Amino acid sequence: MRHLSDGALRRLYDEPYSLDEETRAHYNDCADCQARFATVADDARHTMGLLAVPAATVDPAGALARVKARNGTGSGAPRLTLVRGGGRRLMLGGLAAAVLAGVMVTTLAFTPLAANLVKIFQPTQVTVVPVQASDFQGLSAFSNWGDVKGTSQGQLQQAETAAEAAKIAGLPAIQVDSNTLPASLRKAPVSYGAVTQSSGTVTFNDNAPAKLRGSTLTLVAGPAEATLYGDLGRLAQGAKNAQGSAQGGAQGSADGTGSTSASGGDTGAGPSDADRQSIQQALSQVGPILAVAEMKSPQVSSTGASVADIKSALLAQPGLSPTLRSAISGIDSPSGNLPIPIPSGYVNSHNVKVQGVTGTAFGDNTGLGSAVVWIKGGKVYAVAGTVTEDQVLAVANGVR
Amino acid sequence: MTQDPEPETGRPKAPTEPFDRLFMAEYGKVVAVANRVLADRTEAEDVAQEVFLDFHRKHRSDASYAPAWLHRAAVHTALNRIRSRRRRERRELADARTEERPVVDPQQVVETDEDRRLVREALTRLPTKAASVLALRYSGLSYVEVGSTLGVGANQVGTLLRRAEQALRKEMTRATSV
Repeated sequence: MRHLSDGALRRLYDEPYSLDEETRAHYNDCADCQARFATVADDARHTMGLLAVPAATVDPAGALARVKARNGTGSGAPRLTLVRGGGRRLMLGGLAAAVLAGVMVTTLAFTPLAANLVKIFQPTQVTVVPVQASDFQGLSAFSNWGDVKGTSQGQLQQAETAAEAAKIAGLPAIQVDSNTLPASLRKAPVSYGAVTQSSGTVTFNDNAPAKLRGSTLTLVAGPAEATLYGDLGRLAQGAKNAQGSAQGGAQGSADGTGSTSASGGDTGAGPSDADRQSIQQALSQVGPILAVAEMKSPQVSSTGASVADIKSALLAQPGLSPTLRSAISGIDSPSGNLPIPIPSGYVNSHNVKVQGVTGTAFGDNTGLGSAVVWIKGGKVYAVAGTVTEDQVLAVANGVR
Repeated sequence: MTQDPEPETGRPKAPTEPFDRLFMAEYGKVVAVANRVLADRTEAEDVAQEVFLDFHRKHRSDASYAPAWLHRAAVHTALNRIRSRRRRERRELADARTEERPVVDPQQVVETDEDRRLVREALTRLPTKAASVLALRYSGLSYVEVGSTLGVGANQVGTLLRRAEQALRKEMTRATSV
């Protein structure tokens, strides 16, 4: 095993139990690492002396009262302003992220299932996980563990009405309360579409940890249906521009058939600043749009390996970032959180109450891009568009 | 649609406002971070309140990134205060020379204060990320919290911290050898 890095030794000084067993065993037997640790520890103690300050004992309750008085808001919290200084670029970044979030949900929908398998996971709640490219480095071995096959590809179909889209999808028709729509979209063209169920399998091979070998996971997503308010022609052009502009980032497509789809590139890495600007410029040309989508909650079934087995195997991989480790740990079995990876730095997200359940809102509350995703009654719902978060939430709460 | 049951959290009811909850949870940490940079509790509290108000003007109190944003802003605001303080002290020193005011006994300004001043000035000369990792970690934030604030993985925090400590030591050596 290689010697511990200076960074690992530094962490060992502060958090001695943070290292895995193998690393700790190496350290215990390695005179070189121990000697370097002594130097690192000396420097840390020296710095602690330099940065020593008298402790600051605080009274948070008193300070809170002073802040409120200073802000002139009395006992209530100050109301948020809707527009902030980040500017157009930030707002469009939010929209790009909201699109990427939709991409992730859509991608999850394209995964298969077999009736004779044991259902091991069906999420009932979504959770956002901000990720960076480096977060996925620890999972590099995972790509060699399984053989992936697509067993059925969802078919995108245009429909004339919501009822027709529902019939194609085999789901109840989406009903949007027109009174909840933003004024700019009440007279906009309306399109309908549906995507049939998709499925695929992953069979763990001999490269996988022993507990997983031979098991087949079947992933199923969809069917789904969507209602879209806005000019599809502009949307298609904007998406095409975004696709053409972004090389490593998001790709968007709209085929004018009533539904949109998009697929992320390396969502862990995210586009470069230049790519992001291009995407933002393209998205700014789209104009007001709003999509309401409903999809049967994705399911994962297994012929052997349990969620606990898979989590345990993934968590044993060295080099997992804390973010990814936490996300993997957060996957509950057989139902629970569905972590949605979001490129770090693109999007603001937080939990919201939608139709009595906890959902996740993305984007900015500035009017150029927001989305909300929630799971209820075994279905994933999403409302997204070039509107404010409040407007998205109003529509979401009016969906029946 | 069927109704999913609302999970029971069992948490205390008060404080109820998202802002209040955020403030009560993070105020102590934000003051600690600012105090580590400024070595002045009163000014650190002032920075903390400024940071909270700024956050409120621009963000939702229940945003998931709120703690990281507040910690980062505390470091930056405190570093800016030191830079402003340095400029003010230079002006005051210049004024004192022209007015020929009596100078306080230099022995009274004790070595501790002088050391603290040197350290604070050294912090402002470090790259912001290096100064930040020092302020955050030595304020008691965990590696995960520091990583979240700086937008890096917790495993990278050790490396950043090690380099920052070496850089601070070098800056201090340079300052005291002049």
